[in-house]
Amino acid sequence: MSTSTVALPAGRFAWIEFLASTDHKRVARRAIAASIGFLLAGGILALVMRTELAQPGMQVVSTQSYNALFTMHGSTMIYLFMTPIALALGLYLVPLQVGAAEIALPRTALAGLVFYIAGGLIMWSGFLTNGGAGRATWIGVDPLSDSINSPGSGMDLWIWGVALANLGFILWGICILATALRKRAPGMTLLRMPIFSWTMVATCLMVVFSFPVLVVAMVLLWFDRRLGGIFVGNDGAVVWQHLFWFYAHPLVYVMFFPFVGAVAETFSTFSRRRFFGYNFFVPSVLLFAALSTSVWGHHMFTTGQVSNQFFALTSTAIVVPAGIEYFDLLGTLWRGKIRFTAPFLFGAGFLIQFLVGGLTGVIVASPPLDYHLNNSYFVVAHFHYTLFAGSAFGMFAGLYYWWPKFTGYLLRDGLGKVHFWILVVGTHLTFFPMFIVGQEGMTRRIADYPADAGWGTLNLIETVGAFLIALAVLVFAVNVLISRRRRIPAGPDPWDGQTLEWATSSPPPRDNFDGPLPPIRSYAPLYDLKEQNA
Amino acid sequence: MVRTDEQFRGVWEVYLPIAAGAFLIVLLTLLFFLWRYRQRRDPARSPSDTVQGHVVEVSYVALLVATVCFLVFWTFLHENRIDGFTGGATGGERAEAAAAPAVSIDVVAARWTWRFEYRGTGVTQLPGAPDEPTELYVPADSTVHFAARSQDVLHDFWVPDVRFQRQVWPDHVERWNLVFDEGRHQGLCAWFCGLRHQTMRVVVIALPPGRFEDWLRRRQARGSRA
Repeated sequence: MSTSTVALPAGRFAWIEFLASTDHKRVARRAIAASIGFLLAGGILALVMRTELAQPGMQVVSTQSYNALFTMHGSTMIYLFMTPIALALGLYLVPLQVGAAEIALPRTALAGLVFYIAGGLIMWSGFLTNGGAGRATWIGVDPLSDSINSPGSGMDLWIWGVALANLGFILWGICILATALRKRAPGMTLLRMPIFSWTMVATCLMVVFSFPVLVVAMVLLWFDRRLGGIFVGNDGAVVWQHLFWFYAHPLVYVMFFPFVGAVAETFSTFSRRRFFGYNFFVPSVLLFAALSTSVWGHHMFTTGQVSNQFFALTSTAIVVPAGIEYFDLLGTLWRGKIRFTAPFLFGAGFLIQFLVGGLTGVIVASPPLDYHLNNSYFVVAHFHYTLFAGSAFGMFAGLYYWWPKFTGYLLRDGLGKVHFWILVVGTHLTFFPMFIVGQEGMTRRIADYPADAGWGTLNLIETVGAFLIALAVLVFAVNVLISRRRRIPAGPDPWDGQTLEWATSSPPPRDNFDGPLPPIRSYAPLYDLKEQNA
Repeated sequence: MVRTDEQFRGVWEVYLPIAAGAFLIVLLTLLFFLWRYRQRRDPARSPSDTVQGHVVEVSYVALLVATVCFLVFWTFLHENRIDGFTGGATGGERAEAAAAPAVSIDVVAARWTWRFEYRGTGVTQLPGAPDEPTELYVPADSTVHFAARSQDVLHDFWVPDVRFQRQVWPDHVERWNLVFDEGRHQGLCAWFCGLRHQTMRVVVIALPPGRFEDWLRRRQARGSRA
């Protein structure tokens, strides 16, 4: 039973509320705001990198600085932006979607936020040290990251930043899982949970299973730097890669699943159909998550230290659950009545763009191909297509879709479409040429490339694209500011939604639902209710 | 003798069309659905109530599984050839014995240069000046054996022209075989190793076997500096 809560007058700021609220909605909103802040910081790093790479020769920064830039760009985007925002969407929405008044373990959720933000600040404080921020890549690969090759406290701060942030994510994973498993409203069996909540369950299963390995690895690395004796001897160096990739492959699916779920919700709503193929989609998501823990060696094909054939097999097998998900997403549009709102456009963009990343993933899952493409810009293009052209578009779909629920007002749809189209052009200009130069022999993590390689023009195009992406993000910021200033009230259900979060006010009250819930007989309870009343 | 670039092309020229084809099918289906089922086309129509299509979906899953089986088969076929010749995990020593190389090169990677020692000849290749690539002379169209070790951090020996790379470790010797076409081939370090990673380069100069022997003899006579 919930203890009594103090209801503050709306809009009045109080320090104790800001620092210590255990309302999952406020914790999630703060996490989303922090994630966007880190997105902007990491994006600025990328713009500096792209400016340097636009032409051969070192024009903007030193190589030393560039190495810190790409380390912090990758680390910020992965550890401090994409993962927390993916989990934060679940923190906000899973309790609502399952009809719960509260998240399970609310103080744990708050602790997760504290660890995440502390971790982010600690990681970035490396820039203030004498030796600069960590510059051993976002992987922190040993032996490059050991005390001989990366001396200085910047690296130690990076290690602690990563460990703390991920500890926070583990706590969030536990809260969300416990909510979905233990706090569903009467009538909501597991197989009546909405698609987004199922993708969050799969996400959090991966978090709880594999993220502890990362925390352990970071602690071991820190001890190795202090006392030595851990990553030593024959096979000492490869142990780091095993530990890290065992965590980091599920990690990249953690950064994908919530957005597939968000896009699935937007497809249902804006096609005015219940989600198609639920009974295939749910098991496929769980299979996907299970398989994700068996593929880590595909990051190690060129080490000569793992069974390439085993990992090629498990990695290629991912085509099956991924293909099922695409079938069901398209099936949801089939014979629908499609409305082209901004969130829907972002969802459609996600669908087709993530596919490029996924298919090129199948390509590099083949060792004969990876023997050439590993660590080249082809791989950089592959993961930017999945993470940016895919997940970030899915993120914008989710943000535009659920923004009215979080805030009570709508984002401007017209500006949203401008944002979408500029982002599409910028994304492809930036990342598609990388497939080409990578295949031609341009390796990654280089501040400069030979002038006679013939890569100058493509790199210049990529840089132009990067600035277009920045422009699109600026349009989004303008949209947020204008929409805040001159509010269009959204009401509880601006999109004609199907799931329980739309059956309460925008934003929801402190304990989520003021009145009785609609009867829950399927995974689209609000749709059922409206159909019944019609 | 297996040419790694030919094996790469054997896989690439099948994978790429399949990927492009799958992409086009999804793109065209999506665009068709967006056009055909848009609300404004027929505002009075009710959206469909069908939420599953078991027969179609099960058939589709069977097709996916068949595709995975084919891709894995195609990959293993070419990978077995490459690994059998180059020496995959733990296969390096067997590969050397089986391949009877024309020359064996001991590779030493250290931040941030490549050093190549021609085993049994006393000849060593180093870069001519800092930040210059090391020239690696090899006999063309012959098996070249590499035994590589790092003196510090991880490095990676990559020659894009032969579509092959292998990580180089500080804690053990990594072995592989390669065959080079006649000509010059750019090589580079493909694992981030710190400050001068981008200038840690190689130029592989593959000469016809007769001319390679001449070069080696002259180098032996002149002493072992580049």
